[in-house]
Amino acid sequence: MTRLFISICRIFLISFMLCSCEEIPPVINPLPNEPLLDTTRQNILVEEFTGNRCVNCPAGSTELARLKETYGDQLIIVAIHAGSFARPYPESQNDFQTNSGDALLNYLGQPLGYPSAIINRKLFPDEFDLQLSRSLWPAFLMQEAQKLSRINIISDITYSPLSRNVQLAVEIQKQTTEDAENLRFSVMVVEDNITDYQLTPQGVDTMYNHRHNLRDMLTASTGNAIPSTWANGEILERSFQYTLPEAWQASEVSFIIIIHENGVQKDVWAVEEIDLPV
Amino acid sequence: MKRIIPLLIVFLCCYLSVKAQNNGGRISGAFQAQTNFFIRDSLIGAANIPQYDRQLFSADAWLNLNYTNWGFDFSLRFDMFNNSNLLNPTASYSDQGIGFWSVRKQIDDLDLTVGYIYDQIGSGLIFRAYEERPLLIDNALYGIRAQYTFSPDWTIKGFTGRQKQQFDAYQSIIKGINLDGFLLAGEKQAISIAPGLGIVNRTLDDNSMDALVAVINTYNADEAFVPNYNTYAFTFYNTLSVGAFSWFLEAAYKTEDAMIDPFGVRNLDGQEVVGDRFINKAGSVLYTSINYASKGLAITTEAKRTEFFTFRTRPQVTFNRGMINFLPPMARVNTYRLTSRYNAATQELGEIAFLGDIIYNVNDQIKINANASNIENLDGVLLYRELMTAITLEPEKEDWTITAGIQRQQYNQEVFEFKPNAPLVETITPFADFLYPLSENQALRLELQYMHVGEDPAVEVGQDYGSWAFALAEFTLAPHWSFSLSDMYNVRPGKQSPTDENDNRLDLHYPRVDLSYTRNANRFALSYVKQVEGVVCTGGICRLEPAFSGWKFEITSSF
Repeated sequence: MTRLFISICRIFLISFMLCSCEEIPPVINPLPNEPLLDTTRQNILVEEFTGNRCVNCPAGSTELARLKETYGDQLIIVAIHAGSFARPYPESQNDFQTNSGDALLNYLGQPLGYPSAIINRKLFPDEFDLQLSRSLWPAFLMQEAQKLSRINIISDITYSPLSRNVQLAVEIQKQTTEDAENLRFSVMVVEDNITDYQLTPQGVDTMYNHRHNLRDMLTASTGNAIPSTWANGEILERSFQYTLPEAWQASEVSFIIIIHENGVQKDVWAVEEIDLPV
Repeated sequence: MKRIIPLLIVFLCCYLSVKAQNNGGRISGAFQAQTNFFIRDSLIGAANIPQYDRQLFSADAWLNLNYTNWGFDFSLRFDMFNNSNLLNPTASYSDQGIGFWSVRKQIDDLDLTVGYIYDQIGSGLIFRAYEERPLLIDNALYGIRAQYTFSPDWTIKGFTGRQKQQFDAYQSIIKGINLDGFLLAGEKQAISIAPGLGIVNRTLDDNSMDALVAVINTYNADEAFVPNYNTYAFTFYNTLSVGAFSWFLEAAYKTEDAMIDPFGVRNLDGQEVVGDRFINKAGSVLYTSINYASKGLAITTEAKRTEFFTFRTRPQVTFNRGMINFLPPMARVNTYRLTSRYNAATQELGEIAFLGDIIYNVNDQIKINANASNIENLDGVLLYRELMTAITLEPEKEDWTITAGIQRQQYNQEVFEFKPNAPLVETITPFADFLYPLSENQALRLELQYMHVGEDPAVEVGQDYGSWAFALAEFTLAPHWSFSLSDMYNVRPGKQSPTDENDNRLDLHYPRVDLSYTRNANRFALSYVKQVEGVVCTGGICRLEPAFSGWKFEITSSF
C-alpha cells in the first residue's frame, strides 16, 4: 500500500515537473500611434452604449478615443445614450436619450455591464451576445479592420445654414456576390463635442465633453429594407431631407450611413461617416 | 457531429425507457419549468428590456432523464430558454437542446464517464464543474473522466475536456488529476485524516490568445506583459477529525495567468483611467475551517486568504462566466428578505476573510445563534462585516415558536457592485419570525423586519435605497397548500431610490403574493412579484439583478 502511495505521489511530482516545460510565447507588438491607412479595408462601426450617470463610461470613451488615433477614419464611433444610466441630471442642458437609441438598445441587446460597445454588430466567437466589455474592443477591432470592403458608399450632402435644411443623397454599390437577402440601410445623425454633465469617478463633471452623440435616425432604428434582388455591381440610390434643430451645432453634426443585416445575424457590411459641410 | 451525438443519446434513452420495465433497468428523472409574465413598471426600473417592451413572456425548463442498466448510467437533460433573462438579467436569450448528457460505466475498480461531467477537487479552489440554475451557471466539463479506486480508501482520477458554454463549449482545454485518501489512526482509531492532492491545467486556445495579445498591444510598455498559453493550479487539502472536532485545510497555488482587474489603472495619453485592465499574476488561496459539534453546541470558524486567484476558461470572460474554480463565500448565508439584501461576493483578486458561528441550545426551549464575519481586501480596506445574533424560543407547554434577532452589516458597495464613490453601506436590521400552529395541519407564520440604513453624507439621504420595512404572513395548509403575502416598503428612500420627474425620491411598496400547491412529487407555484434591484447570490456566486415586476409560475416534478 505504501509503495502504491509513493508511486501515486511520483505521478504528481512528474506532473509538477511537466509544468516547468517551456512554451513558445506569443509575440507582443505594440500598435503604432499614427493611423493605419488602407482604403481597401472596410470601415468599422463601434456603437458605444453610455449614459450621463454611468460612472465608468468616460473610461470607455477615453479608450475609444485612443483606438481612434490608431485606426483613424476607418473607425466610426457613435455614442448611444440609452439604458438605466442615461437619464439626464435635472441640471443637464441636453437629454441625450432618443427614441432611436432606446430602440437600438432593445434591438441589439442590453449589456451585462457598462461601458459596453458593439463592433460591427457582430457576434464574435465565444461571446454570449453582441455587447462587448472594454477589454475586448482592441482585439475585435483589429480583427474587423483586416476585412475588405463589400459595399461602396458614395454620399453627397448639402446644407443651407439659413433654413438649417440638409439634403443627403447616397449611392450604394454592391461589390460582392454574397446574397443580399435581409440587408437594411440605416442613417444616424450624430453631434460631436457637446459640453454637459457627466458622472465620473471624481464626481459629476459639469464640463464633460460628450463625443459622437447619437441625436436621431433618418431611417427606422432597425433600418430600411434593401431589395433582396440587389445584384453585384448594381447601384442603389437613396435620398433624405432633414432639418437640424436650432440647439445643435451644425459644425459638429455628421451622418453615419450603415448597411447591415437584419435577422438572427445583424452584421454590418459597410459604414461611412460624412460631415455636414458648413 | 456535435448535434448528432446527443440525438443518438436521446433515441437510445427513448428506446431504453420502453424496454426498461422488461429487462431490469431503472429510469428516473426530474422536471423544472418556470415562466415569467413581465408587467412594465418604469418607476421601479422594470422597463427598457425586451421582455417588458415587447416579449412579455419568458420560459425556462429543464428535463432530466437517468437510466441505469447493464452496469451503465445514462443521463440526459433537455434545456429550453425562451426569451430568458437568466443568462443576462437585462437581455433576452432563446435556445433549446440537449444541455447535458453523460454515459458512465464501472469496470471493476475503474469508473469511466464521458459527456458532460460535474465534479470538483477538494473544496473547489482549483476546479469545480457545477450548475446553479438561478444564475444560469452551468460549468460542466465536456470531456472524459477516469477514476480508479486502488484501495477502499484511496482514489485517483484524471479528466480532460472543455467547459460548457450554453449549447456549445469554450475552446480552451482543461485537464486535471486528483488523489483522494482516507486514513484512521490513534487508539480505537478515533482520529481520521482525509488528505488530497490536485493539479489542473488550462491551455488557452489560439483565438483567446490572439484576442488577449491584441489588447496587450494597445498597452504602454510598463503595462504590457507576455501571457502564457498554459496555466497550472495545484492544491493540497486535508480534513482531520478528532472526536467532536474536525479541521479542514486547503492550500492552492496558481502559476502566472492573465486576468482582468476591474479596478485596474491605465495611463491613456497622460490621463489615468480606472477600469478593466489585464494583469499577469500568480495566485494563491489558503482556506481553513474548524468545526466543533456536541450535544447542544455547534461552533464553526472559517478563514480564507485569496490573492490573484481568478481562474477562467479564457481571460476575457467576466462576472460569473467561464469560471473553472469556486472560491467558497465567507459570509453567513442569510435567508430573511432584508438580512439577505446585501451579500458579499467572493473577491477573486484579493481578500482576507474570517467567519465564526455558534449555535447553543440553552435547554429544549431556548436556542441561541451568534455569527460574525469580517472581509477585507489585502490592503486592509473593509469589504464586508456582519454581526448577527438570534434567539429562538419554543415554550414547553405552548405550540408556538418565535425567533428574534438583530443583524449589523457594513457593505462595500463600491467594490461588490462596481459603483465608484458609493459609501460603505451600514445597516442595522432587527427581525422576528413567529410560527403559530392553528391546528394539526394548519399553521400561520409571521415575519417582521426593519432595515435601518445609514446616511450618505454627500447627499444627506440614506445610502443606496435607504431604509426598509418588511412584513410577511404565510398560511400553510399541510400537506398541499401554502399562501403568503408580503410587502417590502422603502420607508425612508435613499440615494438610489426611484424618483419622479422632479427628482423627488419616492417611498415605494414592493408587494409579493405566493400560492403553491404540492401533491406527491409535483409542485406548482404562482407568484405576483414586485422586486427591487439587488444582489442575488446562489452558492456564493452573486449577480446584480435589476428590478422585477410581473407574475411567475413554476412547476417542479420528479419521478
